[in-house]
Amino acid sequence: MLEKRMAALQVFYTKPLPTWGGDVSGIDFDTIYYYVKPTKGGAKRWEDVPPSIKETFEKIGIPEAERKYLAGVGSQFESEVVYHSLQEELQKQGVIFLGMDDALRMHPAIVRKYFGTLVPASDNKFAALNTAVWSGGSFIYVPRGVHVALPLQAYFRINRQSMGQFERTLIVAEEGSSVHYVEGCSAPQYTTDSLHSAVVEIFVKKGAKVQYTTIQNWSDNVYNLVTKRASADQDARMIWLDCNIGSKLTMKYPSIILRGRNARGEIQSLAVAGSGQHQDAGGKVIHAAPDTSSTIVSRSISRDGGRTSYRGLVRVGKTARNATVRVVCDALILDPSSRSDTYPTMIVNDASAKVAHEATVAKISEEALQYLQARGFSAEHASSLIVNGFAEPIVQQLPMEYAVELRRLLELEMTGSVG
Amino acid sequence: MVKARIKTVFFSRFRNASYTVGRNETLIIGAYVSRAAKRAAELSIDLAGDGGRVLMCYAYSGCGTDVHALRISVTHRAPRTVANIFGRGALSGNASSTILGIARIEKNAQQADTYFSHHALLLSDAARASATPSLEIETDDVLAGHAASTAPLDQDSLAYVRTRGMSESAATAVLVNGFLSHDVNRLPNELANRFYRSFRLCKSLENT
Repeated sequence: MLEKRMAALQVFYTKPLPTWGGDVSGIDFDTIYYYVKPTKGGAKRWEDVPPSIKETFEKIGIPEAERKYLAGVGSQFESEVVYHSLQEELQKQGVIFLGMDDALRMHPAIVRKYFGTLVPASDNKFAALNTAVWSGGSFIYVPRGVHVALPLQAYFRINRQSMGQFERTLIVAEEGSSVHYVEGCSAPQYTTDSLHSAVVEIFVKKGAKVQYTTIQNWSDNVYNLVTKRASADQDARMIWLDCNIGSKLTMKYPSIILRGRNARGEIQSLAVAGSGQHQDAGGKVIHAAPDTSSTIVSRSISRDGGRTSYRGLVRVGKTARNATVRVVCDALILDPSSRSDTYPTMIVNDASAKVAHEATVAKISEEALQYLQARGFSAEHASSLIVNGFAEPIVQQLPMEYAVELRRLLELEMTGSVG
Repeated sequence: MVKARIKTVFFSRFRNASYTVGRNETLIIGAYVSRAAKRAAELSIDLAGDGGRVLMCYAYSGCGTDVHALRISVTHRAPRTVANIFGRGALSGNASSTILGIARIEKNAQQADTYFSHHALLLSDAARASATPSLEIETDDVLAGHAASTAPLDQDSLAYVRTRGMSESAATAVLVNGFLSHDVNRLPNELANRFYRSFRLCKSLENT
């Protein structure tokens, strides 16, 4: 592993920063702490947490203990118990669910077989950085034919070991298995780190199904530059569900390589950009086998001078006969100072592929607003309802407790945005 | 009542061109391109005056080793500017097309309305199409949309036309004609006539 890290560091030094997408010139690589011992997090004081973050906790109704954990000043003890009983249940099925560091120690053979094969260090500058300095992240191994009934949540595991800024997550779903992994939390995560650069690799074997759900709400000083990639074998199904609300700049394009016949991929994303934020998100699907299909649905909302960008790539290779692709991106702009961009690229190298893409950008319709106001809603409440309705197709696919929190958060984000 | 000034242009080959559309002016562009240019062409349209409009309908067919490369950029600089761009292409043999459409709506272009569509028909295994319809929008009171698709010829339609007694190649030509001229009725007569007059599929397409 040390060799891999050293080699990756060299790659990091030689690779240029990306010239497209968001402005990353504000990152000073020399001032970042590359490894902080998990226990150090506890040294911070609740009093140091900014009032705006505390206020949000209050409004979306997060319990006291959880608030402290989310703010990075404490850890939650009740969930330890939940974690242990969950762990027992999983062990019976042969499922491995560990922190990446533990996994490397306890299951080196599996880690070696998959680590860095989907996202090599040479992939991009930030993947190289992650490979060189990674710590933390999740490791999930689901044996053949096993269906994990409950969504596995990083939330339970992280409490034992604080989440790093250079997480490395690896998920392997063997033939015919299924698993749903949820990372992040709808509450704002306060951190003094300025760069979060994770790498996620997912292997979906024949007939398996993996759903990876992310709810990202970093505080607005964070650069969130993440490389996520999945490979789907024959008859496999991969779903990325990605909600980006926080951070200063997010650049994240979950990818799926459909390399087995009849593999299916789905990327659903929601992005909300407020003042000073840039959400540059999207998805990539590479069709490399016959009869594969993919769907990308993206919804974005920009307000108070925020900027959302959809950046997507769909490539249908020569060997991918009868591929079908559907891409839909819709954007809502709430005020004149905000911005929304769409950069979809479609490359079709096979004549039997059916590829369709559509996008719309608009503001909240006056008619809808007036209709609701005529029914007695205030302008603010009416637009918050419309925004929630706009986000609903994505939000409703989240596990219930996350959906509830996210809806409340959207309402909160909209407060004061109209009138 | 302001008198609208209309300017019409017809292209039979993609080439570099740039236009500025002033206050209440309308620019209408028709294009039918059957021979690929040697290099990528760039068309830029600047909607600089309040109420300026552009309508463009283009179609192209490619066969052999034709490479159609076109970049269309439309910039909405003034309020109430409107752009409607409709493109279609049919590709056979080893032909390929790369179409880049960029619609940009600047801050003061309130109530701008922009639409771009591009549809490609792939008629052979080696034909390739790439399309990137981009939007950059810096204000809120706008309507913006785009649509793009790539697909093979619909086998059901082909079977239907063939049952009416046509050979496969004749049936294909009929369907490709219909596909490429789908948006032409949006053009004024004069341009639509020129479109039909210059309409010709490349040889291999006719004999597919």
